[in-house]
Amino acid sequence: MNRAILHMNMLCLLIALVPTAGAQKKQSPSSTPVRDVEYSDRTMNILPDLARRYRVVIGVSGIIIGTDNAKVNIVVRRGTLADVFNAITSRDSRFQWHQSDNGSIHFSVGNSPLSLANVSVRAFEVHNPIRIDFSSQIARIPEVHAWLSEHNCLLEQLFMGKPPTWKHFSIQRENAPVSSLFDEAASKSETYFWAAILYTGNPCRINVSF
Amino acid sequence: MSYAELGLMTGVADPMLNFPPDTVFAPFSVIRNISSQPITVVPNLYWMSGSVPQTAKLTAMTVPPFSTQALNMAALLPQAGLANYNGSVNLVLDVTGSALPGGLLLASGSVDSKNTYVFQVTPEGIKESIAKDLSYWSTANGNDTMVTLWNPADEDQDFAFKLFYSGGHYSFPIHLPARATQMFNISEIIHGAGPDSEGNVIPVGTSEGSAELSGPLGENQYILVSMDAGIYNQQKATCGPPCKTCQGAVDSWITDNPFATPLGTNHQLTFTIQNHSGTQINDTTFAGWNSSDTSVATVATGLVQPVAAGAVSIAAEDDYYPVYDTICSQFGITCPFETGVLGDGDGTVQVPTSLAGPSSSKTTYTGQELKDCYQRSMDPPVPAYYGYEECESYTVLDQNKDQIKQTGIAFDESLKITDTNVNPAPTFNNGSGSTDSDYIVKDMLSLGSATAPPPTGSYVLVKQTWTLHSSGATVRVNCLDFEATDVTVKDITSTPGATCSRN
Repeated sequence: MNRAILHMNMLCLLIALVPTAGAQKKQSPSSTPVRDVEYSDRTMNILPDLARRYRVVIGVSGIIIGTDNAKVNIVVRRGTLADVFNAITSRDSRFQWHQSDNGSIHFSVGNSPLSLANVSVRAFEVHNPIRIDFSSQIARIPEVHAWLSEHNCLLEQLFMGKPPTWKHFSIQRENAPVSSLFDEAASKSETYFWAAILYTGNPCRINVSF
Repeated sequence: MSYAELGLMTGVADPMLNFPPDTVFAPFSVIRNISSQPITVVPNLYWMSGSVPQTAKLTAMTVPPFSTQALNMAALLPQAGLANYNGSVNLVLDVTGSALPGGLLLASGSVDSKNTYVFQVTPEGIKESIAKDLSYWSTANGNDTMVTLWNPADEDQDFAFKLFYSGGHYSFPIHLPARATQMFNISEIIHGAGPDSEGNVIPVGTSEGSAELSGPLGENQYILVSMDAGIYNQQKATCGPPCKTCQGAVDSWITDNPFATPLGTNHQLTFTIQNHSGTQINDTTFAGWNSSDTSVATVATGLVQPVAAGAVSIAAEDDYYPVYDTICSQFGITCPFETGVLGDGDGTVQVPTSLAGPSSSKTTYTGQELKDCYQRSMDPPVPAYYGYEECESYTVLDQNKDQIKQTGIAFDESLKITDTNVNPAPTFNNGSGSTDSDYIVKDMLSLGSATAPPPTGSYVLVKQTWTLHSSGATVRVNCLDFEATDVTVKDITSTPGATCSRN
């Protein structure tokens, strides 16, 4: 056999193998296989449960004013998380979802997005924040503070009962959108879920949840 | 069974007793068998030679059914070498045979040769007892009270002879060697009395009262002793026995009746006996204990060990303990006449089945440190909090709706948001709780943040389910309606499938 042809054949084999190996290492979170997923609940109850069950960071942002007691019924016997997310959005048309570049799943309220989530932060650093105070630290970021002032809005995190604790972590980021700060906090604190919803228009209040 | 006839005078009267000269006594003892079976009687004589007890076993005799027989003391005394004895003897009759209880009548005493003086002696069955009482003694108006004690045991015994009189009491120690007899007049105690072991002295002029013979450890100590007493008056030539009784129980009971004990927690019961004197004795360790249903609870030495939820009756019984009888042994010949005391208590082995309440207390926060329902800092501390906190206090009820008073009963709390206009819903954890030192479960219901109190009009409806940690059984289901400034609790336990909704 011609040595050049042999070399070409080996190169082709390598080219064919490399993407396959890379795909196995970086499986998309939304392609996580699931079995027997069944819910009859509020979307905002289902998403944190999915996030913690499959350890996939899910963030929700948007504007939802008023009651939120509508249940969605979904059943996915065998499929992926993407199938579950699609089932949710098909039954709760307020939401749409996508997977961000960092692998987190972002749900947004389609016709009422929250632009705060996309505000770019030049620099943010926090060490071992307590859970009840984290939203205050986010609100003090100059770019976030400016957005809140411009929109005459309050950023808060409401708690019921004894405020829960979370795992200690630190964040040090530059030039990142607010949503990615939330993604990192949710991942490192192992709450895996965050939500930032504008839920009262007057006065404007954005409630953050982890 | 043996019967003692104490202090039978024989021979020339003791000059100290001031009888007329030449007064000579002879003892008598008469037995009537009123049963249909013959009995055999073995007479024994006990007397003191100086300070040394002496004993003689005499010839046995048979008493046929329904017949009476007088012991021939004139013939029996010489058998013991007492033909010319001047003094007092104790005649003890060992009775054997198949006669039923109550089939024997005894009479004894001493009579002088001129039939002027007849001193009755009350025969007494020899039986272990607790303290023995004399209803009355007198040293007034020429009276005196002579007491005769005989120790039938083969070992020395110590006693306390306690005089009770108006305004006080006085204890006189007595040591009786085995088989020994001691006779004394109460006037001797009164006249020779220094302070007793408690420092008591008999007031001048004391001349009547009652008395008790007990072991040195108190009236509840078991003793084996025969006692006889007579109130005599030399001037009037009279003598009569006071009423003798044996101290004993007039009541007995189990404390904590009814009682309740949670499953998993042992419960100590106490068996108490009250004597006729009013003294109460803890008889827990001496009584036998019994459970009516060992599948519900077992019991040993009063310690109830729950097995399963249910009702159980616990009984304690002391077959040996004397029962007080109002019949004077002046008329009965055995003291104590009967024994055996018991008590019982109804109990419940409790399992937590529901939470009752709650009672509520509310705190509003406007930037102060958040404290829990026991006013302790949170972990980690929450230095500034806006909102409110309502502490709900529940009591734990058992299967009969009675409160369970036990600390550390653990419960798990499950929360489920069913309706809200707060998005995302406030962060919360499923909680837990346990009964505290006041047997209360406290639940902290709060709504707020580190930034600002919840906005007016906000609400979160939560279905709260409490389960018993040990079994997972549901004990309470609530709908919690968190609003901007307070929370309401609605009990839906009777309809656990109900939805928490504002519609």
